[in-house]
Amino acid sequence: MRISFKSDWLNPMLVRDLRQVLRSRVFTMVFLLLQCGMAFFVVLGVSSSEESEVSSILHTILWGGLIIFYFMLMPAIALSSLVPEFSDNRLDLLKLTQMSARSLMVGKWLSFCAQGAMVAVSLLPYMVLSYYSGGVELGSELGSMAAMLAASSLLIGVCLAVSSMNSRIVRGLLTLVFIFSFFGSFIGLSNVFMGRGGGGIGAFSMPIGNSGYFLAVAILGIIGSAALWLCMEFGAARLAPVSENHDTTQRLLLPLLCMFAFGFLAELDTRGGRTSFMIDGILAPMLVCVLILIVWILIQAMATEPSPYPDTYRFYMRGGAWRRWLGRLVLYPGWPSAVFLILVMTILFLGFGNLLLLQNRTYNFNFPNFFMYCFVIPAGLMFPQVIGVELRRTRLSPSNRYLFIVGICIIVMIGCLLFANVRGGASIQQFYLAFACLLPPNALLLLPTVDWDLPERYFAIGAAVATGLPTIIIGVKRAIQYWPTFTEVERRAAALNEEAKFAKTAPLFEAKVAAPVTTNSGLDKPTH
Amino acid sequence: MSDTPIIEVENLTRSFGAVQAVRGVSFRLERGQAVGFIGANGAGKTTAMRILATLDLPSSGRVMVDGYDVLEHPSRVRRVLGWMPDHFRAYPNMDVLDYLDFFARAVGLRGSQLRGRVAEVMDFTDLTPLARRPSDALSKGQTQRLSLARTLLNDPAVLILDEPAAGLDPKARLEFKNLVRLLATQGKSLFISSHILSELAEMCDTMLFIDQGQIVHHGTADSLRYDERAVISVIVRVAGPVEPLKQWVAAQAGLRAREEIRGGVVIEIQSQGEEALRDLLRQLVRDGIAVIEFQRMQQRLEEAFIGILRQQQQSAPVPHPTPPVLT
Repeated sequence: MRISFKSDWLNPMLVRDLRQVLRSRVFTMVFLLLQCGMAFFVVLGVSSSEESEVSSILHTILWGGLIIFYFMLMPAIALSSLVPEFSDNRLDLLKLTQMSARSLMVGKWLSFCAQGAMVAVSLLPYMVLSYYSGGVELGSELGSMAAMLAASSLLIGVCLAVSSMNSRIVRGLLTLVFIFSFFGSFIGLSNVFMGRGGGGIGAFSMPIGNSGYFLAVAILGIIGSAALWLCMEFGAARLAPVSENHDTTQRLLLPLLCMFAFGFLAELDTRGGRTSFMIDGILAPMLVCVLILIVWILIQAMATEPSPYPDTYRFYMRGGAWRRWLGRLVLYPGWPSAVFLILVMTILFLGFGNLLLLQNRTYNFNFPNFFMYCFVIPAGLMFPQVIGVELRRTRLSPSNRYLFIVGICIIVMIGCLLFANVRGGASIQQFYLAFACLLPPNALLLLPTVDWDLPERYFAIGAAVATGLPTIIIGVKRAIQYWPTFTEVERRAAALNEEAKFAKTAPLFEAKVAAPVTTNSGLDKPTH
Repeated sequence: MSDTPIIEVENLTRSFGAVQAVRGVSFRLERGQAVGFIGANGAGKTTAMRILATLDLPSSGRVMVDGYDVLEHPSRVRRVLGWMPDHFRAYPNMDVLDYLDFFARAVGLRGSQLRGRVAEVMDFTDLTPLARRPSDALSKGQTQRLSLARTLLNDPAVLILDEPAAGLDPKARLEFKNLVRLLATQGKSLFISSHILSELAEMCDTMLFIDQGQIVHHGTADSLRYDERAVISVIVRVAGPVEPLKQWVAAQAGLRAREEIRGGVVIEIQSQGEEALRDLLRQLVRDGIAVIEFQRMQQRLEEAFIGILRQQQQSAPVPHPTPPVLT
């Protein structure tokens, strides 16, 4: 039989998804409806004597349709696109191929982008026609279309990442968190750089003549790419076979996020003094968004078991001892290195943050606050894992175990809040609330947000330190106790490196261990 | 061909919380062997197979596939094995050819290699006439053939098939059995799980029995049917009345008439070995009994398996000191 195959170099998932989508009724119907609608209004526009009015209607319908397609329909489809992969053993079959989970995610994302691009390209003739009917600036429209495609592709990335979660409720909640984090920052940033107020789609129109245009595009591009990378990694981590490591790659995003956080922090404090196009009130939410992402990565790192696969550690065995220590203290996947990572990040943030703020002469360094956060931040993040190690024999996965303990802490906090509210007097209320600070995650949530009076504040800080300090000590101790296991797996990783080195020098051995997939094995056709 | 066993499992354990799904399993599978992996639902078959296929992590123990440790070289292990799950569903809006094309790309085939291999496996599994049929609209038998075709795309040295014939009608089961037999004759190593013993007996050289996460028995189907530890039972039918035969049996030392059947008696020989059978037939003929049928009774495989489980429950489980080499 003769089979016609093309596009061999493309990502297999992209090819598969495009083939599926182009045969699906939903896509065909939407595509045809858009085309028919646009053709109808163009004909109407051409035949009408009142050009500007029809052109305006055509314009509104075009953009309305595109907004629905790019920001509602496609994200909605993306939001459930990984769900079928989890059912009926499909994911297992994908895991056993040579495709990495990352390329699977990227392939899916590219497929959505390709669909979006197909629709955009098919609408271009109508845009040109509407330009000829007057009242439309084609350059601006095309710029808006490109910005819309970019924003939609990021939203689709977010939805794809979230679709790797099994629970619908979690998917919904995470989408909101991600949209708030990414798009809040995104729209805010684009408004800041364009010098426009408000928000919405207008923020994506970028007149090239604007002074901040290139800077805006560069920074938005970097943040967007980082956010997309995080999304792809997040989804890939959920799809990947146990042998793939996605924890370290997420951690590698931390320096970039830190850079932004420090930038926002510094800029926030100068209050528009140095750079005129920054607007007060935008930077603080953006800093919060970046911090959310940082905390998210740290929680992911804490809620991951160390990888038993020596292959994961091979990179760290190639250089000197510093690489091994870098791995053990920061980059190895799993909670033992995440314990140190949290400490490093806390020191980095509190140290650099205060240094940056100290540059401003009006800033008063508060040592008790600094001291308190030194305990509260790492203890709050470590506590669920420190307790979770004790619950290892439950059937809960590490991440669910982590969330379960956080949930219990929050229930305790809500209990304290309710109890405090039924008691009279602000000081008594705070006293009851301070009890919640005995649990480090609650201390992390309550201490920076509650406006404490002085004696209760000291009580709350005392409670936080009393449990936070042992939490950190136990966490570090447990992490160090894990080092012999690391030593063993490092030894095996080093052996693998040696084996690979030997394979390079011995061609016959190489041929044996790295033989490519062979074909035409001579399967005899059975007599059916 | 390498001398290393295609699968080598040493003291494999897997726990899920407090539940131990696999407990100290050890065995070795030589190249070109077809081995059945038998156990009741929840016995630990799928867990063990998933670990072999690098889809799950062992809690302890060592698992080697084609000489590669599943922990140290998971991607190499994936290259040499084909995994067929107990059930799967193809993708919607995709025909059989596209489905196989996708997986061929995913295992790294490109260009003429891809085309050749897809055509070859479709031909082998007789899916060529169904090339443009929607892959999610196939019958159960056709779906299993599609699954086998996908499994063969990377030309695996070892095939791990989890309940491959479950839910198939007799015709589809026969077709599938033929395909598996053919693969075995072509030198593929097969590791097939099922809880239907008779089905496995026809496909496999040897069988491995697992219960509550432990290997409780290994051997050929015949070793189960003719359990050497049990007494030999023989069906003897005679021309004419049965009474003289019964009297004759009663008079013989070491023989017992277990039950009377139509035209004969089931005789139990209190001795082991095939010589006893030969001697019994010779004695019957010599003493003038008009024997018209003489047949050694086989234990039904299922009964034999249940017998093994019962024995296992009565005595404390004995772990294999050395991994059994399946022959």
